[in-house]
Amino acid sequence: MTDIVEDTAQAELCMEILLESKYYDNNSRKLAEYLNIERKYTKWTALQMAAIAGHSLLLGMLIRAGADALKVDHVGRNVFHRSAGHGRKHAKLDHAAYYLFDLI
Amino acid sequence: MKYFLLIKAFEEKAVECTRILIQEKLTEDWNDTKSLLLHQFDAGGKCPIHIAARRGFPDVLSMLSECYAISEGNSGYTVLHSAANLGNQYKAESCVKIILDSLKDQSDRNQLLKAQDKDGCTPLYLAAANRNIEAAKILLLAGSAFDIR
Repeated sequence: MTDIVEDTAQAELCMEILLESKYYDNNSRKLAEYLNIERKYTKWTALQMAAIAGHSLLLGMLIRAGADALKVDHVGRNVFHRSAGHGRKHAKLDHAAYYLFDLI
Repeated sequence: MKYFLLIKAFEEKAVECTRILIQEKLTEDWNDTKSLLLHQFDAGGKCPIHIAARRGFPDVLSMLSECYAISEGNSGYTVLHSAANLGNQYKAESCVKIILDSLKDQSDRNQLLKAQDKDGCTPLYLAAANRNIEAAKILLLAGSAFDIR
């Protein structure tokens, strides 16, 4: 679930489909488990990944679906830390990408 | 210019994410959870407000105004120190202005203006050291003392 939130621009649509799918409706315990799975090393959950990527609607969807907002990552930061400080890594990466496109 | 636009776009994303978390009632006990999350320190002793101040996001700062009094860990470094210490003078000016405007109570203002970090620096000292002239002017007008050592 964290991988889906991370990369695609259609994250909100994908997550909506996932959360509303029959598979999860039949087994809500499984959904809660999946929502709070942590990434290796960084310990980011889907919620923190959504905050890092700046998907504001996803944040609401995930918390309403039962994601644990109190979870912290490997440096002790929660979803508010990630929301408030959004963008440094992404800005640098995108800047590099723009620069490369200019060269091409 | 492109970099500036990108930073601006990311700032808008940060504002939108924080707005949803602050203003919407996401669960039954969201207000308690929110208060807990806003006052939670990370491994470096920072709360969400300190991260926003260090990034120089004035709109996020205005939404988190209830946390202005918290200082980073035991360092005495407040949100006003972070804003005055920003490298970008326009961001420093707007952040300092937003913080001081959000504080209605004069005693809270004075407390922030006179706060010294572990090295004894006040926000005015940091603004002057970083050549943030407009931010320093705002701090002086707000009543910051220039004789604190």
